[in-house]
Amino acid sequence: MACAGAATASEETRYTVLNPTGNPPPIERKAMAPRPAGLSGKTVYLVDETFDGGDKFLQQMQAWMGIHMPDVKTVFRAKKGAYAADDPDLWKEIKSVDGLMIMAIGH
Amino acid sequence: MVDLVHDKAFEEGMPALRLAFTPTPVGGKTRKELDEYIAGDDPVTKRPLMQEIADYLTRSLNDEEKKTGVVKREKKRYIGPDTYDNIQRYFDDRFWTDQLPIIMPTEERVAAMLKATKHRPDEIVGRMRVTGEREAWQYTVETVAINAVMAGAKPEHFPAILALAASQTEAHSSSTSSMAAMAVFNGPIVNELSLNSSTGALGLYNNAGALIGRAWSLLSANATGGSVPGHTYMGVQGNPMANVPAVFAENVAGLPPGWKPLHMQKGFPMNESVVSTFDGCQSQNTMMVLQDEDWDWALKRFIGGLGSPQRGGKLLLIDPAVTPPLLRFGFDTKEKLIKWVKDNVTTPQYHYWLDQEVINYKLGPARAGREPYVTWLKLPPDAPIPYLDNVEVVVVGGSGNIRWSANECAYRRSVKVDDWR
Repeated sequence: MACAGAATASEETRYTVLNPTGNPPPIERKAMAPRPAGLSGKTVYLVDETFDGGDKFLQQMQAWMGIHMPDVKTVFRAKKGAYAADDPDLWKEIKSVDGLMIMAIGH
Repeated sequence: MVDLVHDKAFEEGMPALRLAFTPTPVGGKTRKELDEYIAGDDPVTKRPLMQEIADYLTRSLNDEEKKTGVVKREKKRYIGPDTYDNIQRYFDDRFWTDQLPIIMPTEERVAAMLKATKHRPDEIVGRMRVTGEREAWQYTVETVAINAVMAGAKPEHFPAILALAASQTEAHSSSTSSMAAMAVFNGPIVNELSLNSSTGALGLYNNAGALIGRAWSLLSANATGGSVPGHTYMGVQGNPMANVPAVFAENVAGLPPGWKPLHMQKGFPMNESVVSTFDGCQSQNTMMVLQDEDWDWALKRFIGGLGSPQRGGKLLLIDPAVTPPLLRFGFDTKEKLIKWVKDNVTTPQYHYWLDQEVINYKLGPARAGREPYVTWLKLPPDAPIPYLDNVEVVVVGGSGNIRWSANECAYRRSVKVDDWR
């Protein structure tokens, strides 16, 4: 039983309010690049985007691959421009050798 | 960090992008420690990292990974009907609030706010993104009104809030650096809204500044879908200046002869109401008056000691009581003081290029041939690098002492308030 003067749950004011969020852009989905059956004989680019030690990490990865994946050619590259900038010349180079890419984002 | 990376992949149209993770951080680790990361497991999937990467490079694509097309994202216009407590909780859970009680943004309250402007509710005011790399969300006059109601602002504040919104300055940056923002008003709007330019101006000792600041804060969070830790807010430690940005007025009466108000420096007439925004605010350094004997050494140390040399923005907030010695040192205009700071606050080339933030943000542009960084890269190690490129001076304070502050904030833009009435 509710006490005199106190609102019960059913008597409590109910509000309908407006959504305060903005409008997100539509997402344009992109298909991922087709994969080769294996890495043997392939060239893998290790691409650093210059943030927080990603270069050292990829250089160590390159050394690891040299020992454990000797039939894979590796190429270390630092991407040009700020970390989020496009580097079309590099993408063109990777495509020209039918290469693959591991990009490291240091943080 | 994992959620953030998946969010970014989604925004770029590849929600199934194959992502491998190392333990964090990577920065600051020795090569031996990084070797252990490489030989170890992905901490998210618990699979050996290099085995996982080889699998990601060679496994055939599934149907989800081949998908193309456009995905529209709808939002529901109304929430409720429900009780105050339940709606507050619904908003808090989505980080649509600052985790403090809000005013319910009912259609009636929002309509009353909208009457304070002639602009249509569906007019697009601008776009914001939580960092430069994330997607830009759009917001309308109505979106701004909803957030103004939530903040407790009154219709008389609305044109000023809309002008701030039109600056498109994000007051809730998601940078891991934990940034805040500030806004400075000049012109007749200062008296109209009784904005504070005196004692406690940068704090919340002013109703209009606090309400406008809170509205700007809520809008900045909600314009981009809510300021959600791990997704759209990544400030490592957070920033005590970020919850309600400092919104204040320049103390125009305290300007010495020859010093123009900020809005006139930006090309507006004296009688124009203008709001100027600053972002990237990470810290504040305060000191007392400069002495005749060593003012130049002290000024270089005071400003130069504030943050990484990667950050070219500084905002000098000068109390009227501190201006007489600055005039004596020859700074009879703000512009002369700004030039002196830009020319004389430097760091040696060797230390500049060892700074991790400089490496993160400036080394890539230098390698791409962008000036001045490519030239700075070639200078001798002891060459002084004048890294400040965005310095502003605003006079504010109540002259209760000869104290002032340098703030790690960068000027963004100035917007006329009357355009939003």
